[in-house]
Amino acid sequence: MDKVITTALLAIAAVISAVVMINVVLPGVNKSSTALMNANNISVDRVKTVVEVVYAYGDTGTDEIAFYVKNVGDTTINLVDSSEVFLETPTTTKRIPYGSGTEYWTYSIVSAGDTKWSQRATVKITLTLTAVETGIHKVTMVVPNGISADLEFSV
Amino acid sequence: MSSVIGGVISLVLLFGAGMLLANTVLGIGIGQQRSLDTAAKTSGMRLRTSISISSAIAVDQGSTTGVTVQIGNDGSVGIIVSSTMDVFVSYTDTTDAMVREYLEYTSGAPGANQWTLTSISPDTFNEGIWDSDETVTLDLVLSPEIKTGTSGIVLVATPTGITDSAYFDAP
Repeated sequence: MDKVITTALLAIAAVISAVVMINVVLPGVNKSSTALMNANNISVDRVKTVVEVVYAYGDTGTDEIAFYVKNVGDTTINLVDSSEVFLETPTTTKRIPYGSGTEYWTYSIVSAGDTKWSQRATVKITLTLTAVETGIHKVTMVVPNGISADLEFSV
Repeated sequence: MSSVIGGVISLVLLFGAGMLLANTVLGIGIGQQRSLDTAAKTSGMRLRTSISISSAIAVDQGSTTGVTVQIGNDGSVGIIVSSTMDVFVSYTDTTDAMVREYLEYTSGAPGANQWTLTSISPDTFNEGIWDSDETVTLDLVLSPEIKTGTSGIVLVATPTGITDSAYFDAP
């Protein structure tokens, strides 16, 4: 009788321990799995993203620089306004913020029929500046997932 | 008995966790392989694409300037001429202002600041596609017109971002 009770108690303890272990280990494994999948999705998105600056020019009269960036990768690029734009002039290098301020950039999709920056579509980035110098410039655009393209041109 | 029950449950737990991780790793591997494959194909297409503008001739069209551009495909892949190609022009107009325009593609007769595909020559293979060793003729219409005695520049980009440019003289 004592042996039966002891065996039953030990069995119950073993089951409870196993259940506790399941409750601790499985969620952890699940979280790791989810994190790995998310990291992989980000990596896949970066591999499929390729952009190319195809044309750029500056205008000392209107103090604007414009450049055209083509999506030559295999994915649509969303949140264009979350991209970063950098400008190297003969005298300085600076980051130009999006939207508003003393110096800023805006964009428009110039490819006919495109409302998103989809594959093979081209966007025009316009930099509104306080002054545009003459000389060799370089524009760099970094899209939201970190892929970048640049082009040197002369004003 | 208790150790048997505990052992069985632990084994099930280990097996389940192992299956979950194996599934994740397999999924990651397949996803990476597919995306690398796609990226390699895209990169390969770009490496094999090359165009060369052989001529750009401007004609007076009254208040506009027409430019006929001939471009050879000297790469090894075909190119589909459509709105996914980009055409840019830069020139001085009759008021001495510098004009820089992105020309819009049209499948019909081009209007102001538009361009169209006029012909592919020869086009005996893969009709309608600009294949290797074939030459396309594009017709552009510039507005305002270019200033007499000056030169402009036309830049063409393929759907994969490969570019070439050429000067053209005012008519």
